Amino acid sequence: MKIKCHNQTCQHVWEYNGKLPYTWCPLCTSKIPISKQLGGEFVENISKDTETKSIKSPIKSRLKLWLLEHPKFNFYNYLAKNDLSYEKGANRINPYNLFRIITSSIRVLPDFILFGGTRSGVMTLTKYIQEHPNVYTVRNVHFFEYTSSNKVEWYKRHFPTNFYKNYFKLKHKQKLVVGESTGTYLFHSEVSKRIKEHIPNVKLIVMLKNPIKSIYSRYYVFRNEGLESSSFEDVIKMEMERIKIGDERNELRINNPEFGHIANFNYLRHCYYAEKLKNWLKEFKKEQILILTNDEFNTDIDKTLKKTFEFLDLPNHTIKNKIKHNVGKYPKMHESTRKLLVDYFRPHNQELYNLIGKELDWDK
Amino acid sequence: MSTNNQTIFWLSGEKGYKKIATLNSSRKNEYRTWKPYRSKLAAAILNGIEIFPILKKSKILYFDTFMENTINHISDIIGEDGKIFVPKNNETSNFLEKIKSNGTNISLINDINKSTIDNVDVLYVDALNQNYLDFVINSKIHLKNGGYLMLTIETEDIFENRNSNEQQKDGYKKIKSLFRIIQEINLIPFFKGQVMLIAKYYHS
Repeated sequence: MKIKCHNQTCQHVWEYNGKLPYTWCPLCTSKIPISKQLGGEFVENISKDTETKSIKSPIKSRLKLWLLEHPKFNFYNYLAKNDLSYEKGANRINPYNLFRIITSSIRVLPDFILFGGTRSGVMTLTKYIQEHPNVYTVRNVHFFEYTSSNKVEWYKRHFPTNFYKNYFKLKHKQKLVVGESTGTYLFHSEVSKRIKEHIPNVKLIVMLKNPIKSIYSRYYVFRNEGLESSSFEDVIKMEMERIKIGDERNELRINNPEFGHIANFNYLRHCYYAEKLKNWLKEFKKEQILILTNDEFNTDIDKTLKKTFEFLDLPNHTIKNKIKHNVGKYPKMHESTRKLLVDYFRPHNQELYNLIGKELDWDK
Repeated sequence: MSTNNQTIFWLSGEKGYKKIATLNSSRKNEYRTWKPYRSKLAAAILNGIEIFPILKKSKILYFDTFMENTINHISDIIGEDGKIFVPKNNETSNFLEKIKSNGTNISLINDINKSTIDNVDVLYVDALNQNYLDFVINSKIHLKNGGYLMLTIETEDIFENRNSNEQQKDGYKKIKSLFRIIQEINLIPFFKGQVMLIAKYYHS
């Protein structure tokens, strides 16, 4: 069957033969529901004008597109069909490669780390930053949270060698900036301490999103995977009950040292930004942290990128390919639930504004 | 990390992953690892259960068709002062001898309707193939005010868009009207297509 991406900046059309109830767009990695039970629509007869729309680019990306449309050699479909654990966000560098194991002691640690709220556009920002010629980034290593029992040398295997960094400086007369991006670092309470131990001079970039939009988007990600089955209103009411019960009788809360931050079905507590940022501000100076919001990123991409490049001491660079990555699709929220959430988040947002020293229009 | 009141222990396993375990009540100073592929309660804990009502000294009314794995760990958690009541059944009769040898805090009941147990803290029901609704409605009298229900049902029963039996859907609606549901935990990847409900009960 033929599938069309719902992302308005992408709208890519491709052939899919797998059996999963959802897939990922091979260009922008948005998750697309296919089965009708999940509210998916599949397109069969699309005129050729939309089909030939592609990125103007040299041979490499044309070859990629040709592969994508080929029914047999399409390796994206192949991966999704046979390997259920296949994820677009997974880290592609193999730390158990023999060469990387041997050279781990001469490899460097990252200069900056990028993370943020759920569904706030961390992936899109990293893809944009990656286009800069002086930047090297790795995604989703999760070293400082649930793979923290490994040694630092394991972490170092993901990054380039010291030798390569010097060579780059000699050749281009500009320094190479190495970074890591793992979106979930914001939520764990001990990550900031662990980072301070190993890399005290690191630069941090945080991306935040309006809590109401973030929760709604996160809910539909779970729902499309079939993990969440009851309605959005019920889910929120349930969590409010849980918070109330846990505050009254603390012994009922389960003692969960490592998995607490990713507790799967938590929505509201993922967006207590002020509470989480305080942990980071204890360990690092204010100059080391750059806080961006999803709203300003959406309205003016070039301006926010200029800001981040300045923060990283890099020359400015304009980006050609402005596709948004990992975009969700969902119906409109009920007005009553929106009001409930706005009232709920008002004190937490106010705390955040005081912490940053900047007002955001999230209370609408 | 360990405190006096701790009942569930998190041990570090291979490649940084965590295992869960309880302290074996029959042999002291020995952990009993809790396998999530064998026990639905362990799967729910690993998938992010938040309010866990089974504590030390708590009373539990327990109904499960595959009871061997979960009941041992529950009896470890509640200790000698707690109590597990197990109603007799055709399917359960095979396990009776095994259970008796395991712990002293397990007692068997012949008939739930005639029994005199009351003020039970938790009602644990795992009976996908049987008519779970009848059992829950019959035995909710024994729950105390503010007690908890832990129930596993199929995912199809909850989903609004999916086609499932109307009887099953009505069952979920009825439970929703009798109890106040706190959390729904999907048991993927350990058990496919199953959800554990945790609900609170108030006397009306």
